[in-house]
Amino acid sequence: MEIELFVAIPPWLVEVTQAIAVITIFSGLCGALLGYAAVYFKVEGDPIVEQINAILPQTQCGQCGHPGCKPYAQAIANGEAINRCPPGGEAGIKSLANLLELDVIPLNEECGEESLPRVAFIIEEECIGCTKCIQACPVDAIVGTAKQMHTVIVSECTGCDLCVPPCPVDCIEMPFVETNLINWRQQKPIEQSIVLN
Amino acid sequence: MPKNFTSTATNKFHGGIHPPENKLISSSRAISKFDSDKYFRIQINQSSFQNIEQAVEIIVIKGQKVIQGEALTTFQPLDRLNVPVHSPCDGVVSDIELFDCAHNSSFPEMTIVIKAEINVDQNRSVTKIENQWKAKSQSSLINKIRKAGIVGLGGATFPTHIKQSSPLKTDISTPSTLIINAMECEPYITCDDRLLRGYANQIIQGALIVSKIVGCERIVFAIEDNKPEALFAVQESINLLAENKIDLSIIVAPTKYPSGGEKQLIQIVTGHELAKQQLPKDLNILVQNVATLFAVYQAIVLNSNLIGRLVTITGNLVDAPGNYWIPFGTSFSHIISQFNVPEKDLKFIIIGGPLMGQKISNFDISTSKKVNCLIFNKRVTNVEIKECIRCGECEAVCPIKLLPQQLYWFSKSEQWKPMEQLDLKACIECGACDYVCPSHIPLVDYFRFAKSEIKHLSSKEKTSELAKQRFDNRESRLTRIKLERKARQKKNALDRKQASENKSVDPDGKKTAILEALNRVKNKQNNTNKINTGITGEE
Repeated sequence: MEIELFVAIPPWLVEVTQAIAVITIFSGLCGALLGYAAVYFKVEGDPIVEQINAILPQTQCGQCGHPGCKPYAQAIANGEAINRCPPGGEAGIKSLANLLELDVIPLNEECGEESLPRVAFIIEEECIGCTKCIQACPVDAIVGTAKQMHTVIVSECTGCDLCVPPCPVDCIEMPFVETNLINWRQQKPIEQSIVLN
Repeated sequence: MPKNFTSTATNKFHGGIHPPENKLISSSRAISKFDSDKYFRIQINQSSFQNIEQAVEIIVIKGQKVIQGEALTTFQPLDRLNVPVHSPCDGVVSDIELFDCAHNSSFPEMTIVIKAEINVDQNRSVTKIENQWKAKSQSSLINKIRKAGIVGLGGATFPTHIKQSSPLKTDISTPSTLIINAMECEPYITCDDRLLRGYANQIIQGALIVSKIVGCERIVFAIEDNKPEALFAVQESINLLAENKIDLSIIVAPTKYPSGGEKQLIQIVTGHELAKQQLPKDLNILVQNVATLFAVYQAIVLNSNLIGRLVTITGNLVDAPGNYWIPFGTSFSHIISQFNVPEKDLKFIIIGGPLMGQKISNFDISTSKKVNCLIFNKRVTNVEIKECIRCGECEAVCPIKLLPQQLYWFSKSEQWKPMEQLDLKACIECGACDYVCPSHIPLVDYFRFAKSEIKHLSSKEKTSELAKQRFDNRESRLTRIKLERKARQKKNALDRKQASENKSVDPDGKKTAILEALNRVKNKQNNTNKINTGITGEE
């Protein structure tokens, strides 16, 4: 009689039940671990936006149509074209394409042309002290106060051009950054040429 | 002192080349007199290590009289790097202007022009203060060396006082060593050789001074085996040193380029290879060139500032090749006329050796502290640059075991990351790879280009990081101000609301006005009562 009772549960059923139990417990543990990790290793912010922003030149010029580099980085992350940054130029587009695994495309001419680095210069005799350029500067590189002459902190200026339009007396110029012994760059050797040894 | 203090080097470094030496052209003539020019053009910055923040300060004005050895520039107290330059003659400052200098960029640099009134006297009698230096403190000696304008005269012009201002440690198993670099491994150059033959005693004195400054236990004199006369002179002068506490020895190394490079020399002398980013002082070693030590001797013992140096004038266009004492600031055109160099055959002058030297075709430029050799050669061979054939010769000769071929490909395609990984920074630009390249590719030019681009990119990164920070700061400030304004508006609105609520109880403020008026009347009455009672009291 007792033997009969044991036979009632077939051995395959035992095995299946065991397997289900083991997998359930295992996946439960994994789920718990993942849940824990999601809470404790949470990444603040969007890392891809940060990476894109690191490539952008931080001129904050707004030529791309966004109020600053970070908003443009956000827009690129959301699928906007990578060729809207003239200060970054070709090199910038290349490294963005490299990062996002996109094709290299030429700079969008609507946004502007790639130019040599510039820096703002206030003609101090003509400045009337209206503070409009100070408000326009995205990196706080202009010092001055109302009815006092303003001036540009050259080392902080990104050459973004944003201070030029608000000036009511047109006393801001954007000269090119002068090359000197310190920021001078070596020329690339000419390939395939005859040289005097 | 042990009898046989001379030994042959047993250690060697990787790679290296054996170019034709061409040293006999100039080394066979003894140091001779040089008729100096009437005008000297002194570059105000003659050390390789330019301090960008602290500009060199000129302390003379146009028209001022100066005497030989007088300082023309000075440094700020906080500035640790700059070294002054001095007038090479008695004369008048005739101009201070921007002028071309021997820099790869061909950008002009500030120069001081001095018109000589009396001819330069190299052997001007000096007040000798022999052996008094032994009583002086290390810092005062270093200060004196800096004020004398001494930089590394092997051609690199690194400020000497910086090298010497970190004393060597004595507690480590390796003894603290001063290595005297007399290798002079580049072809054509013989000024160190000739200096040793003539002034070995003074150089050893200079070495003793430096060894006191840095506190070293032993001095090793390293020389290549192609200078037997100089070696003999040094042995003689060491024998003359009667009693000496310092362990002084000579190591003779086989001739191989670039054994005079600091890292290579250390490897030859000690057998230790300097690791990446390691400096000689990490191995308790200081390396000094013989010409630098001679300048130290002159500054400390003879009390004279650095105003000139021994320069090798050589090449097949020079009528009297040899070594000459040439004051700094002498123009190349004057040297050309002095040595009857036919200008129509001369395309360019090489400053330094043919391997690491620099080609200069502007002959108005003047000599400076880095000019140890001038080569005037007639060149007719044109060389065609061909494609790299991947022979790997360059890797075999690289003294620091880099992969020049790989670096070349990456530099050509402007890929900077892999170049940094291949340790481009460690390249000493010795030109051994250029020399052996069968396709005549200017490899070192490619490496210089890459180095300069990498430097440019890193500085760009720094400025963009700064701009980002300032932009973020501004954004957060603007949002803060906005929030504050909002809060203030809210508060004002609340206040107004409260006031209007008060008004609804007393719509046009009449009740309060009446109450106030009543109070005033009451007060007045009280006062008058008091006065009245006062008067009655008197009555």
